Formats: sequence, C-alpha cells, structure tokens
Amino acid sequence: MIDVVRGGPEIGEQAMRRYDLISSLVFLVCGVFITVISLRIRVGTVGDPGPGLFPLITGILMGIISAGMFIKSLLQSASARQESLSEDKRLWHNKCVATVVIMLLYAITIDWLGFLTVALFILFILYKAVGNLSLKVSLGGAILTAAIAYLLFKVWLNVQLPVGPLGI
Amino acid sequence: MDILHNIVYGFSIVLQPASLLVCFLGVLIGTLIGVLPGIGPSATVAILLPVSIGMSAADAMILLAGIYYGSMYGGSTTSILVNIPGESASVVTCIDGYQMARQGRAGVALGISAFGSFIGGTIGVLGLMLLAPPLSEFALQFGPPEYFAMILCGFSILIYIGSGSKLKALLIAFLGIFLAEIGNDLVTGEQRFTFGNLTLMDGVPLVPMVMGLFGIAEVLVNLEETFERIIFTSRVKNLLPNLADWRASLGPIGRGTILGFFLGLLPGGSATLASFASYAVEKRITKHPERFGKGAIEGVAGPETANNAATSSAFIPMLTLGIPANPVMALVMAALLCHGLQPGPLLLTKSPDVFWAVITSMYVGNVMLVILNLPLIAIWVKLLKVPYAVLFPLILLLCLIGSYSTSSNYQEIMIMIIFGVIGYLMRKFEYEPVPLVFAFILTPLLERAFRQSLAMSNGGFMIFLRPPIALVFMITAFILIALLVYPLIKKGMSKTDGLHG
Repeated sequence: MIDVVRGGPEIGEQAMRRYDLISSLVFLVCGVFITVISLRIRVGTVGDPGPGLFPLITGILMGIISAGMFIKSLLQSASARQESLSEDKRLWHNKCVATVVIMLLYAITIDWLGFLTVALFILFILYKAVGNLSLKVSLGGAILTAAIAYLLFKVWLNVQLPVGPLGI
Repeated sequence: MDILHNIVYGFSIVLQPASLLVCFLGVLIGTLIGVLPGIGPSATVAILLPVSIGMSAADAMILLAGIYYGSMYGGSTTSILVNIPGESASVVTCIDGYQMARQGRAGVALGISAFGSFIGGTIGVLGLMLLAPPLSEFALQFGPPEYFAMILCGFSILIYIGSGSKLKALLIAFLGIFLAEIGNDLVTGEQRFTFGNLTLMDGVPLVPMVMGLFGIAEVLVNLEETFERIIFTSRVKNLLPNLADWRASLGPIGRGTILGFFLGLLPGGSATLASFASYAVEKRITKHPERFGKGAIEGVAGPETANNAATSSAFIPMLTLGIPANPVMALVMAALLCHGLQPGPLLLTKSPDVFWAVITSMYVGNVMLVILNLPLIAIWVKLLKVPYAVLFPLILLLCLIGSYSTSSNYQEIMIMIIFGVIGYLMRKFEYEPVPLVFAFILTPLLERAFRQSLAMSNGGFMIFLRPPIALVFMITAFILIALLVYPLIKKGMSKTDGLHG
C-alpha cells in the first residue's frame, strides 16, 4: 500500500519505534558534537555574544530534545514489546543504492571526462540497470537525453558545464 | 490611485514581448512539473535558478513565480486522472478528483480545478497587491528585537501547524539551525564547523541542499514503488462544469480563497496546508459529508482554489519582510539576492519594477494557465503515460546539472547527493524536510537579530519583551510552545504511570 503523502511504503509501528530510537540517538550524538565543538569557538558573554554562543545553544537544545525523544521511544518500545517484529521493512532498496552510487560516479568523473560523456554513461546505466529497460531503448534514450540536455543547457542557455578530452 | 498607477507600471513591464515569453515559459514549465510526479516546484526552481541569473531581475522573478503557481495547476491533473499527486498540495485532490474520474466526470473535475485555481490565484494576487505595500511600511519600524521575536514566532507556528511528530519537527529544525551555522561567522568572520573545507566556508549551499532534499530524495522514494497508473483518458471530455456543478462549487471556491490566502502567509506548509484545511472545512460544513471520498465536486473545488490562493499570499512575507514562508520562496529569495536585491521592507521603494512586475505577472500568468490547461489536458495525459523508468534519469540529470552549474564545483554535487540520502532517510524515519529548510534560511537573520539585540541591551533579555510588536510575537510564540509542550508532558506522564502501574 502506498502512503500518498510521503510516497513511500507504510512502515509498521514497531519498526517506526526502532527507527525513532535510532534517529533520536543520532540526534543526541549530533547535539553533543555541536556542543563540544562550539565550546572551542569563542562563546563570548551575554552582553557581547561570540560566534560560539548560538551553536552552543543549538547543541544543548538538540541534545535535550533528542534525549527526551529517546526516552519516549524507549518507554513506548517497553510497553509494546510483545508486538511482532516481522512488520519491519528494508531501509534501503537496491535500486536506491545503485542510483546513489551512479550519481557519486558522475560527481567524481565530471571534471575529468566532461559533461556529455559522463551524462551519456550514467543515463545508460540508469535506464538499463535501474530502470530495467531493454538495451536498445536504454542506449537510444541515453543518447537522445544527453544530446538534448547538452543542446539545451550548454549551447542554448550557456550553462557552465565541464568540457571533456574530446572538447565537448 | 497610487496602486492603480503601480499596476499600470507593472503591466508596462510584463507586457513586453520578452517578459511575456518568460511568463509563458514559467507557467508552462510549472504545469509540466506539476503534472509529472517525482519533481516538484522546489527542485525545479532550484534547477532553473542559475539560468535565471542571466536574465533581468524582473524577468527572473516572473519565471520563478510562474513555475511555482503553474505547478499548482498541473498538480491536480495527475491527482484526478491517475490518483498520484503531481505535488504535495494536490494530495487531497486525489480523494474526490479520482472518484469523479472513475464516475466519468474527469473533465468536470479538471475543469472546476482549473477555474477554481484561476479564481483563487487571481484573488490571492489582489490580496497580495493590497496587503504588501502597507505591510512593507509597517515592517520599516522593525529593529533586531522585533525581527528575533517574529522569527521565533514563525518557528513556533511552523512546528505547531506541521503534520506528524512535533518532537521530530523540532529536532529537524535544530538540524537546519546547525547547518546554517556552518561557515564564516556573519559578525566576526570566524570559521565555524568548516574543518578547513573551502566549499563550506561560504556555508552549506542552499540550492544543492534543496535539490537533494526535495528532488533526489523524491526520486529515491519513488524508485521503491511500482505505481499502477490507471489513466482515465477516454473519459476526459465536457471540461466545462454545468450550472449544478457551479452552484455546488462557488461556496468552496470562496472559502478556499480566503482560507488559502491566510494560510499561505504562515511559515511552512502553505499550499499543502491550505488544500488540506479547505478539504476539512468543506467536509465539516456540508450537509452530506458521506458524499466526500465518493466524488464530491466540493472536495476538488475547495482545495484546488485554496492551494493557488496560498501560492500568491506566500509572496507577501518574502517580499515585505524578507522572510520566506516555504522552501520555494526561499529559493526565489535567493534569486533576488543573486541579482543584488534585498527582499524586505525596502524592496518596494528601491526596486518597484521588480515588485510590481512580479505581482502583475501573476494576473497574466493565471490567464495563461487557464487558456493553457484546459485545451492541453490531452497532452498532459499523454505525458502521464511515460513510464517512471524513463522519467527518473531525466529528473536526476536535471538535478545534477542544476547543482553543478551554480558554482562549477563538483563538491556541490556531492552535497546534493548527501542531502538526497538524508532526505530519503528523513522520509523513512517520518521527518518532514520543511522545518529544516525553513530553519536553515532564517537562522542567519535570527542569529544576527539575537546578537544585535543582546549587544544593544548589554545582555538584558528584557529587550525582547519591551517593544510592543516584539511583545505580541513573543506572547504568541510562548502560547504556541506551551500548547506544544503540555500534551507531550501529559502523555509522557501517563505512559510512565502506566508502566509503573
């Protein structure tokens, strides 16, 4: 079933409590980190606030709220321990991981290989591997899309895009 | 007479062929991205921000504004025909719009949606035109304590009206505050949390962040789903509503306009919140609530009107106070800053051309949208048939181009990808991205006002309560915070009692 507001699959209550525990813990660590680092920046006085004052307040408040949420999630988990754990969903989908990796490849190689080459390559991989389209459609789609994007952004709109070894 | 003179001045700019073309492109792109699920106005405005820098300030604003209100028109098409909202403000239109389509009334649903959008949008612009100048004048009285109190009040409203967990909204807002603190300190120039990274010295860039949170994250979430698209193409006819349809819709359109206009002024949510609120109001006041969810035309007319009225009024706090009500307005504000213009009370006097051109372009754009939408519905329907497997690489490529082109720095692509992953995880963990962006944008203003106020008062916190305007904002903020905190404490105490009992 699709949650129309969020667009993702519905997640079970028990799984969400576990997610809440994890996320509150992450925020707690962030809060402590921000507090510690901001103490190294000049905090100043109340009459003459330094650059560290606002981050210090941010870190402390984030820490307090996340600690509160951690305790709240812990209490809820304790009261509903008997619920099934089987409703948990996978956090990461293979297609999402592949897409993120492809985008990272684009970011790393764009300055070396130029926009057109890299765009062609990642579009083909996205169409073929992630979109599960046929080889012909993937290749044709990649060439067409990359060419249109090049003409539109580089040639017509004069957007700054890196040039590769072939000069395009 | 002044207003009339200004309108004529605004039209003299907008009716230039180049500006008309820009306005047309804006509403066309807006409708297109509204129709296509998976790319919203935030990501599109972010992508086109670098392109708009090459235009005049007035044309850039006309383009970006056109994309925003155009997307509201387009969003309803997918909601009605496919039961998939093109953007979040059209979620509620799915409920009755899709049912109308199933009953063979897709044309009427699309028609009333377009007319309601036009009425809401146009009256919203009228309100913007009448309210913005006096508000700008009033805002000139604001000093640092008033600004601090107003932004704090804005935060409280945002958390209070936001959907989902309030604790999560607060935490994500604090994350936004922290992200805004990264970079050179705005007063002393000292570095904060940069760890020697040159890209971060200017702070976390807004455009890649927004594109990641809204564009990339949306694509990643959509990749997990296989949407079953059942499109009611053969039944899209009779776009003009009959007399009975108009009779049923006039009330919801009127109420939707007023509700949408005022909700659009509030920080966060705006168009989305307006459409949900309008639906709730219509369902509550109707004599036949059982019709809702089964194809009631009021459930389409009200929300579609409200979200368009909200897009017009969302410009008011940005143009007059320099405070964006939502992420799209933040990006429009960023575009103004790129053109060397400071949004706020002085914009009206310093750059009346931009101010009045944007406002009058909305009249022109709304007329274009009505003309564009009704005859082009068949084309939008054909677009909906394009599989998502073909669309998503295109959306990703646009985001990748947009994030690189702002500063030709590959690290900004990395930042966009990181925020894409964060946005994806936020959706999984049920955190809303809007408070993060809102906090990120307003924190520099908030921090500056806070530090200036304390410096002015030699550390006395009473400075935030002494000026009458600041006092009103602070009292409102405290009431809202109390209303937020009280149920949480009460709930927590009853849970603890339950465990011990």
